[in-house]
Amino acid sequence: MVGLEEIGCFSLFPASGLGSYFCHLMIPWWGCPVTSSWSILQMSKQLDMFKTNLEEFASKHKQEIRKNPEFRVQFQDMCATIGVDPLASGKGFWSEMLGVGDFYYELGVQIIEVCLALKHRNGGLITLEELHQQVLKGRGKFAQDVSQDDLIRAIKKLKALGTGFGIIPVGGTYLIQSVPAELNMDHTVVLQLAEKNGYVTVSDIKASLKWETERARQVLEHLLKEGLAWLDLQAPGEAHYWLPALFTDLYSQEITAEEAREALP
Amino acid sequence: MCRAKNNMISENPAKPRIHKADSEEATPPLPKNRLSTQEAGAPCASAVASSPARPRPLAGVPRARRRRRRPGRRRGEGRAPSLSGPVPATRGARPARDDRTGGAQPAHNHHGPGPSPRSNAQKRRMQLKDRIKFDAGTLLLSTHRLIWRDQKNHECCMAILLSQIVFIEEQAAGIGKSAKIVVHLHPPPSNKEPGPFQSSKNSYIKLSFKEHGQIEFYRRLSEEMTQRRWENMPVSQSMQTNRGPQPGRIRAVGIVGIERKLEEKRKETDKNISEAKEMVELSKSIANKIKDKQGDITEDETIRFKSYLLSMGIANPVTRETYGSGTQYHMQLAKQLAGILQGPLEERGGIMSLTEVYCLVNRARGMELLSPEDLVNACKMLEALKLPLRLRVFDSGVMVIELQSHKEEEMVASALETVSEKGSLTSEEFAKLVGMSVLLAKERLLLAEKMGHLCRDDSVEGLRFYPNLFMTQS
Repeated sequence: MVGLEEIGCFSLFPASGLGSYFCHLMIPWWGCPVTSSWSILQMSKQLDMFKTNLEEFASKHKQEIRKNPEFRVQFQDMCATIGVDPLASGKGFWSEMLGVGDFYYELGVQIIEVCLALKHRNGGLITLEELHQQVLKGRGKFAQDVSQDDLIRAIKKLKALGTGFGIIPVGGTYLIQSVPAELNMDHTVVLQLAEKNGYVTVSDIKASLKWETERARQVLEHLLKEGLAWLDLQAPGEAHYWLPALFTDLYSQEITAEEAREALP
Repeated sequence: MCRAKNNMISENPAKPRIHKADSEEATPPLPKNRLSTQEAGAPCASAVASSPARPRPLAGVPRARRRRRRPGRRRGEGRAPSLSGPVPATRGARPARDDRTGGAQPAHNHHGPGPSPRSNAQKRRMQLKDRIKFDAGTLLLSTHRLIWRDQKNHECCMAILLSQIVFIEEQAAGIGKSAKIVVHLHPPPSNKEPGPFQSSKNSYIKLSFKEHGQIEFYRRLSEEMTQRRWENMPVSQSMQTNRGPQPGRIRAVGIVGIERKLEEKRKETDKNISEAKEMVELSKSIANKIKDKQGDITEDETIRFKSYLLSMGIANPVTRETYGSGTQYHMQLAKQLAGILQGPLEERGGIMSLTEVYCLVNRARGMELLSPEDLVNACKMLEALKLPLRLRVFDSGVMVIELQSHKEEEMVASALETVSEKGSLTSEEFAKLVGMSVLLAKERLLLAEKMGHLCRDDSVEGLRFYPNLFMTQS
């Protein structure tokens, strides 16, 4: 390229498309070594070939990708092996030919809506199971099946929007964070501890994690402040810190205000 | 057959399924590559995951036959794909049905006496009957035996000694047929136990894997055939029946199933995609070249290259001052967004979080949705393109779109007024008063604090803001 620039040949061909093409023609004439222009041309050729292959792949597997969550997992893994991200852009090959993009982006929208709807209750933290349930409910009977892996991938994409989407592993499952609360390792460890019973106490923390009282209290207060934990001062013994995100049907039940009034003496 | 639940995160214990074959079932979850040894004396029963029904007791040398989904024709009409030489007529094995054996096998190449003349209807009836009989089951491999258990009829269980096997081969799946393993057998011994069929013209059986698993199974079976562990371990006569259900296994089984399918699919799609890998390598090398010698390559080519990267979904390491990490596409998108968002922004007081924008825009589009990254990249170009909106990133990392005419600093002044009126406010209270989202309310209050107009009171009860009297009354 340097040789051509000096001579000023390149300036004779202003149109970018043509520029590379003529550059390609000139290379053997001037004996220039392979330049990045040449590589780009080569790449565009390879791209066309790849496009054809992808079209073939798409025609075979498009339906399967849409309908089969397992196949989606494999497809994503395959792309990861190659080093491409099929969900990076709605304008990419993958999106256009396979329709993977739309599926995940729409799922992203649904996830955001569910998290927003439940934020007042759980402070912005929700288990993957509950999210899955709510999303499926929202999608209706006739929509495509969505697996938890799909949700995780969609959430990973949502992180780009900067509003604090995060995935925290607890126990055998994940907690999805949808608010930009600062949760460091101490907090996540306590969340994991709380997963067993839905609540945690200072003594629990001291016993299992061997922390000092002050450290445990700080973590719990932070969770309380962020709205992720509820304080129960009426529990037998010491104060219980409940995590609504971890409430499951196992030990909680949603009731209306009237029912609550009736239930209490 | 068993359909393993497709994702590993959730479990669905409601429907335990016996997974397709594999010696892994014999013991609680094993690392994938170890063949579980079923010690002599604990065959069938221990191999099955959670079925309470008991198999037929197997004693001595069982000569039962195994049958799977693909029912064969009744007698002597199967095809023996690659046995060399004729094979004597009486065989213990039952032929699989075989119209569409893998690949091209046009000739009717069975061994034994010629095809018995049967009407097509008769044949179909028999096939149907066979299919019902030995249709769905679990195949289990132990060190001594190959066992087949009927999934529906728990009383039915068949086994064949591995020592009876001559060799095995794979048959790939095709359109309308599932993958198979063909097991060629020795002639049956005279003392063979009664089985589903007394004799057969064919010397092989076919195991049809309708729901995958054949790659792994074939591998294990070949291993067993090579190792021939049954020769070292004598089979004891005691039989252990009544092992209770072992629910812990089910999870491993599901994962194994997924791994198998993964392997299989990978084989198929690998060839399609190996070219993609080359291209990705090439593009990465170009990207590096661009990064190193930015003078060598023109603006146009860079833009074109970036659009290639975009369509491939490769992360773009190249950034240029003029356009950031954007491309033609993102520029157009930015212009579109400016049009779409003008109205909603004005409704919401001139500012919206990027999450809201994402939902709004995608809901409006219906199809050809934007990815989050597309949106962010397009928004980054708003200012450069002199559009009436801009992207703003707060210290906390929250990203918003605001109208150019919207001056957050001015809003801070009105926020201060509101807080002063009420004495003090939390972000939730403020959001409610002003009618904006809690997230943005918090950002505004934080900005006011940064500018020195507000003070914070940080306690367990939450974050509360007060007018900064240090400034005003000092």
